[in-house]
Amino acid sequence: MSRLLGVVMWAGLFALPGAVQGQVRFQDLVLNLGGSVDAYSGNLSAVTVPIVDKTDHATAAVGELGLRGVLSLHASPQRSLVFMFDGGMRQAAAVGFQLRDYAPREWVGSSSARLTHTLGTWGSLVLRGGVRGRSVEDRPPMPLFLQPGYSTTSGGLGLATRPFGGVSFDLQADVEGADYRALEYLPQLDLLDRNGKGFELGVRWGGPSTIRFYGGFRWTDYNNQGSFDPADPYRRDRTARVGLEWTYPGDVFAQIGLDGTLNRSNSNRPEYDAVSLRALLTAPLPGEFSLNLYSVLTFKSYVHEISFARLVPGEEADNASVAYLQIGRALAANLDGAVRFAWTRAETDIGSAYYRRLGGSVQFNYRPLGN
Amino acid sequence: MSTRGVRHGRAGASVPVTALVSVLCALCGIPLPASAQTAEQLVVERRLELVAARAAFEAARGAFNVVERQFSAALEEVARARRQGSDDALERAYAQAQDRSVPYRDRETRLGEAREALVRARQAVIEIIEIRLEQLVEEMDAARSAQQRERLDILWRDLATELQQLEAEAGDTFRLEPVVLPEVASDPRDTPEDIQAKAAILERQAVVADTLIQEKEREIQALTARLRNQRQRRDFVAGTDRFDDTRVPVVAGAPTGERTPSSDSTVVGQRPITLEERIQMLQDYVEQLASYRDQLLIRAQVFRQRIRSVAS
Repeated sequence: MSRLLGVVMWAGLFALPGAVQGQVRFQDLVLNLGGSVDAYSGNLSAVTVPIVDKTDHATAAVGELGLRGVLSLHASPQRSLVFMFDGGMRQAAAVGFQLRDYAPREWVGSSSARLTHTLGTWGSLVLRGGVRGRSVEDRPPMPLFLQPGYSTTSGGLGLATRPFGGVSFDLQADVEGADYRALEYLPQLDLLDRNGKGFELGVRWGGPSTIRFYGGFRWTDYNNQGSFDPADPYRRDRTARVGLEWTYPGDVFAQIGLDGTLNRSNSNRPEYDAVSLRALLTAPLPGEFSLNLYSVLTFKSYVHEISFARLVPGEEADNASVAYLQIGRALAANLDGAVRFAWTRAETDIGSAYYRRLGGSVQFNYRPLGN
Repeated sequence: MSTRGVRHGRAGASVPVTALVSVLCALCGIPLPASAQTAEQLVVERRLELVAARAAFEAARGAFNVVERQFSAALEEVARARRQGSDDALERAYAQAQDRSVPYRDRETRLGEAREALVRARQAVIEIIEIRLEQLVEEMDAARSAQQRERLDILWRDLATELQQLEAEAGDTFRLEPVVLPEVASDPRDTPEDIQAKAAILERQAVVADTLIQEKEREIQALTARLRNQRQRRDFVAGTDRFDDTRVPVVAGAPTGERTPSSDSTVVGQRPITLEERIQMLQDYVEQLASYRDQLLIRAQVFRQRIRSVAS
């Protein structure tokens, strides 16, 4: 993990603007600094968290530092190659636990490359590949949930067309692999390892507000989870998804999306149907402020009644809802500031357990190159 | 916000979900309103209008160049006749210049109209692309998968490249209008009326420059606002994605594959000028215009002082 993060961070540091020659240039470089206070509550257990604490409430003061950038390696009218990186560190001081206080530190990093090729006048083709990873030190017990460490690799091929008779089409296929960092004393994390592949087809029409309808199918194998079927011992999921998205652009931007999922498996326990409702609102405010609001509500129900705990408790809750509200403003030519509020809630059907996070943060984003 | 009602439905609760999916599928069968104008359609239509406006402008410029050369030759003939001191030749040259001034003014007017039409057509394309880009960026913000975001990003980059090329082209337009003082010179033979007229010409030019300054300052404000919103939106998405904060203890339906950093919503392609560069260019141009305007006013003042000195 640290090797991956090193590659990501050094890629950003070495490719400083002065060293960039010819076509190679930075399209964006942003240094992020932030601080937040988060309150966590709930009794949802997580099988991937090694320590259990009896408390239902915890609080954390958090500081974070991040760097992200986009580097154009080649650009021509027919073809372009772009390298992207994003890395950061977040340090928290968590209190409120009965056992002890914690000081979790997260390291995250991702990088990817994308090759885009124009297909005449009717569309474009994109080939991409990337890696992403994270690690957590001194991971606290619930209810302060932090994603465990993992690494993923992925690749994909996409095709997007120009509008034909007012209707445009898009198609993409991808593969991915996820490896959760199972520690010696925490082999449960390996349960989350998976390999997947899928495709999605979309069509869009309308104006000035637009509607996009899309559908896709995905195959996911969990080679470390049992199916309780000796003839087919490992869990294999098949997921169909359809969705509809309405968008109204203007000074006030509004978007509502409805997404339906049918998950079927060779194991009865992870078979479920789910619906997600998503809303996004962006509006200018007086005094050159701007507001961003984003929320997702998820509704989920299982197909089969079974007598024991489903899935991997704590890592696949029944329902999850997220809401973010941000008010931002430019503080200087290359410096933006924002205040962000976040609310998250997840529930599992195991003993009506739940998890909730409520936080507020101040963020500063500095662009040393002025872009 | 809790969804217990559905969650507790167990097997039975899957029916409404399935029904909802069926409704979505049924919606797929709705005949597409192909006649409705989409933002994509408008982009295509306005591109065609821009091509036509460019062709008309080039034709008008070609025609103007022809009559401009003819008119310049006639003015040269006037100057030659004046140097020779031949009244007959001067009279013939004046007549020829007078004749050629009519098509010259016509073509000049036509060229001005064609240039305005080109600017309008280009601006119309820029505006519809901006609307479409806003749609795409917000859709990327709300994308629930890396794959969806990647696909939207392809569309975004293509359009953004086109937008910046158009903006660069618009920038070239004002760079093609050099900020130089007009050839209004003092002549010892000028009467007070001539000097008055020359001063008025300079003052009118100064007013035009002032109007242009205000227009460019409004453009700077609009670009700055756009840049600010674009930055804050990108930062918002990047900030929520970086540490997996949007991933609650749920993994189903949310693959943790490679996700495109939000900062990739920038442009690739031929080195287009960035919004910041465009703003800087405009600011430089406004400075030039202000200096130009001030010089015009100073020279007009000098002319008027000369009138007063002649009168006294």
